[in-house]
Amino acid sequence: MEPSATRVISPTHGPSGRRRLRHDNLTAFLSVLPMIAFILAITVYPTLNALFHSFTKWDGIHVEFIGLDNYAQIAKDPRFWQLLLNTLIYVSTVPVQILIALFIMVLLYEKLPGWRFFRSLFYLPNVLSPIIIGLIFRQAFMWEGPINAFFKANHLNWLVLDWLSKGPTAMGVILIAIIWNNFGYGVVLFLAGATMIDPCVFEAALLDGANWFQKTFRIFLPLLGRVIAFFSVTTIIWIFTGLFGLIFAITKGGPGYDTTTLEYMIYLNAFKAGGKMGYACALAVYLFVITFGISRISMLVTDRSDR
Amino acid sequence: MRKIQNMKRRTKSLLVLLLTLVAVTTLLPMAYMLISSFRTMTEYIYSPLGFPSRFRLDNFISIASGYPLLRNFSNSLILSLVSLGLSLLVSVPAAYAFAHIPTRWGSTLYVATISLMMVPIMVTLIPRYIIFSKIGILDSRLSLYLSYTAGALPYTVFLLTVGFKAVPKELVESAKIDGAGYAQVVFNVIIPMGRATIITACILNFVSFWNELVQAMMFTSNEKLKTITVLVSTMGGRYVSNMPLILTGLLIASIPMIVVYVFFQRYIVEGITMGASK
Amino acid sequence: MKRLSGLVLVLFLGGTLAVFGSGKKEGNTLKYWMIGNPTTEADQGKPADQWYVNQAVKRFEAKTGIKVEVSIFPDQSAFADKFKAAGIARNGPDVSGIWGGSVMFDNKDFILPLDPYFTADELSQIASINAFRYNYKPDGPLLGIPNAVSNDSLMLFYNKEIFRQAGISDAEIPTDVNSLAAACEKIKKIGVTPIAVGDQEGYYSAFMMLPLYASASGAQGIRDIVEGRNTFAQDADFVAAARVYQQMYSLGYTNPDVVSLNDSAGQTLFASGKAAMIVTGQWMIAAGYQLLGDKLGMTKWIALRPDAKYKGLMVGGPSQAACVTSYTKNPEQAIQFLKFLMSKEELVQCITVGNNSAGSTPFKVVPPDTFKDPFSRMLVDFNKNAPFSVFWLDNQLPQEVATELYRMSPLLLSSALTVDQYVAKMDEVMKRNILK
Repeated sequence: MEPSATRVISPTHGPSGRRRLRHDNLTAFLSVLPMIAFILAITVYPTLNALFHSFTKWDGIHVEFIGLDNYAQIAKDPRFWQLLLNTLIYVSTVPVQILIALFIMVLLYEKLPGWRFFRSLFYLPNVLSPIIIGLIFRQAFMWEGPINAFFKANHLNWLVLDWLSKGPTAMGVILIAIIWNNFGYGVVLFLAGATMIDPCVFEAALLDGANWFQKTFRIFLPLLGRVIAFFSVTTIIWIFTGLFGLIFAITKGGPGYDTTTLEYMIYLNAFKAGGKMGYACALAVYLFVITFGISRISMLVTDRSDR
Repeated sequence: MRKIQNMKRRTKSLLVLLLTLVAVTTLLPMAYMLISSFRTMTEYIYSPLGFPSRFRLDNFISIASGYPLLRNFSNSLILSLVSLGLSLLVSVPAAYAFAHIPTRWGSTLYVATISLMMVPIMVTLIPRYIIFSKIGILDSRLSLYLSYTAGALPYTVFLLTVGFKAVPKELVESAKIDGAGYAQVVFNVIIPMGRATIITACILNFVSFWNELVQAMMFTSNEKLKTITVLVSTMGGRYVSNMPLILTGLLIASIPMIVVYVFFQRYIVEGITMGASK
Repeated sequence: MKRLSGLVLVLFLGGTLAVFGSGKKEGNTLKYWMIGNPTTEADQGKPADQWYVNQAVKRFEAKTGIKVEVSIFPDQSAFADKFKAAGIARNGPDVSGIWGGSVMFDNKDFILPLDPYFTADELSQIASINAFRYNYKPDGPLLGIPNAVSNDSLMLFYNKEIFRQAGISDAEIPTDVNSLAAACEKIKKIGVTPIAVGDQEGYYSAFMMLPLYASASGAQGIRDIVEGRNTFAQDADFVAAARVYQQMYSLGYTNPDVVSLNDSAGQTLFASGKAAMIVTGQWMIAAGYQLLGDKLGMTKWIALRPDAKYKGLMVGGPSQAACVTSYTKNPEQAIQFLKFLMSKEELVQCITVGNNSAGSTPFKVVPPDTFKDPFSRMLVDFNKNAPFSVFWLDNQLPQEVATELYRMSPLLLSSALTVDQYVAKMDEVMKRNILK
């Protein structure tokens, strides 16, 4: 065999090339076949199934086609809008998370000795199961818990409340839990993004006489824009679709439906008697459309800002 | 290096001070969990915020003897590992194809697969439940293997494709010219070179499978199949008034993931970074 | 790397083999599903083979040669889903426990109607048998036999010691809203929480509010609403009951954390002596007696007004039944097991080994002196001599309405909703679910 330096890689045209193309196509197809099979059977088919059943009254066994009734009922239900509002309130933690993560990232940016230890620490809450985090916070904020005890001990009796019994305060506990759970993800992400920025940019700015504030706000942050956007989108989608564990642990959606999200509502409706599965599927379709919309919009925005 | 030396001592100490403050705040919930686990129920009722009078292991013993912990841990482990294996088995060839086998339909399929990442679990939960019921695998591990793998595929394929793309085309080509068949290319070239990405995908998936709650709760009802995460979700209801006991249970349940994290954090960080720099 | 992938492959294959290997066992064994704890607290701490149910199964096998495999489901709230899923897959039990009311009716397709298998004589041994006929109609198919180990009655429990300290004499033990308020005020004066309520799940509206309503409207009131002849808003008694319920919290007669405390924590609050009263089912007897001993007192829950039409009524009844599945492959044997469980000998056994809280057993065959503890005797007495009795009211609601009831209960209690708003919400859900 000739040494590799003089070997020529066969082109994809001409008689042998066409055979190679067909061969490639076949190999590629076989490679992705298991994945396609899996996804079709276990993700795509159930999704279509849910879509179909959203137009029915369904209790798992009996199916009764009712057209857009479920959708209409949901849209007319003030509770649906409450669920969306709740989710939006949860989403309002995203700017807070970004600020906290940026603040920490700035502290860590100089890479003082031990920075890796701190970074690990801040990310640690993210590897814990949301149910564990939720239960810790629930125990902490219960009427007879340490938070109230702390306030009592410091004569702040006006702060001694049953945090979990009123909608706004229960939501506050969940908001804190969300931030605690997720800010470390931001720290890791922003730090990675920041270290990818060429230091020469800063040198140039320093030469031009920029102070710390200008450096941070007018150079640093805009360059981090893409990473911040990525963090925001993934976190927002997580809040819409993955808060089940936290809500289940802290309030089970209560009091009433004051802390329930659309996603949690699907769970609450899924296994009730009387044909609620179809209704739950319609809720799921609403959720899907919303999350799809968010990803689409975010892609458009980041594409435009990249240019 | 110059930068650090140039910074005034004051700024450095200020930074460290702030970092420590934030670190302490971050650790507070976990410290609460840890300290409470050594206290008794009456101590806690009397003063929820305080230190144990003596370091007793009573709570740990109660939890260990009151629950079949070994069984729950092994359920979580088996579930996570098998689902992981299945995910890799399916993703690796697909990622290899996306990264190294040019086709006209390749990028379309890739984008379609990636976009499945944002299908919420709840959308597929109910249909999967009914379908699994009908084919009789509902109360078994298989239902979770299938569900978890399908859920992990989009992100895993994404991660692995990015990682495999970093393997130089020349290496693959020269292996082929040397007569390597499909399996040999994958095992001798792709996997060794993409090792870091594969491990990252493994760790990230493992953690998310272990911590998963909804599907494990819905698809298995048998006591024998409960994972540790599902077990924790039932704890809140049972020993409600014995807070230290519950907190001990939470502590014990956290330990595996903390251990995994401590040993594998490098890969987790890489995985996150890779996701962002797409 | 070959090793790693090899390992992964082995794990996957091993896992699938393990799953498929542990296939379903065929054979002539009856499968019996039980909800909740295996039996009463008397069994706790004993090894499994000494539990009442396992011993009963052994006796059955000795007598008939039929084996029974018992599965226990401690997660009560999820049991309905499991039963339904097993029905869809047709791989469920032969005999099963099941909650009465909407759960049972919803699963009608999976339950074998029992009328053909029981003689009129056998049926006459059971009180409240109509509770398990479809939609409670006396001519509907019989779907289950009351389960002896889960017959419940609603009672007001109180702490005799706290009552004494507060200066509440026996004559002042609450029987209606006025005497309850008076007692609560006295208890508040000595700095103790009057009534323990743990309403996170919302059950206390069923325990405290609905019986108040029933004491004025009897059994017919709720039927009228459920069948569309009346609404919650138009039923003055219901509105009055909701108002009283709300006042329990607003007047400070309960603990402050009613909304975030869950049911079992509420029970613990009373049993540990930190609250003077609790309104709950007679399952409280065991835990209460264990922690409070002679301090435990029990009486009927109060009536809405001193002159309420149905004052003195008993609320409760068999909330759980044993049924036979429609897809069982061994119907005769399943029926045999069912009859065995309801036979006089087994019932006496069940009660004698410590199932004392089954005081208000629906079976007329059990001699009264089988019950050894004073509370059970009291319950038998109450039930025998009750002027009226009403089946669990929340079980009679369609499931969506019951869910709304539970969900809105904490909001009503904490006055997050006014009574009018609450009643409007209940009516909105009821409108969609009228039972024909």
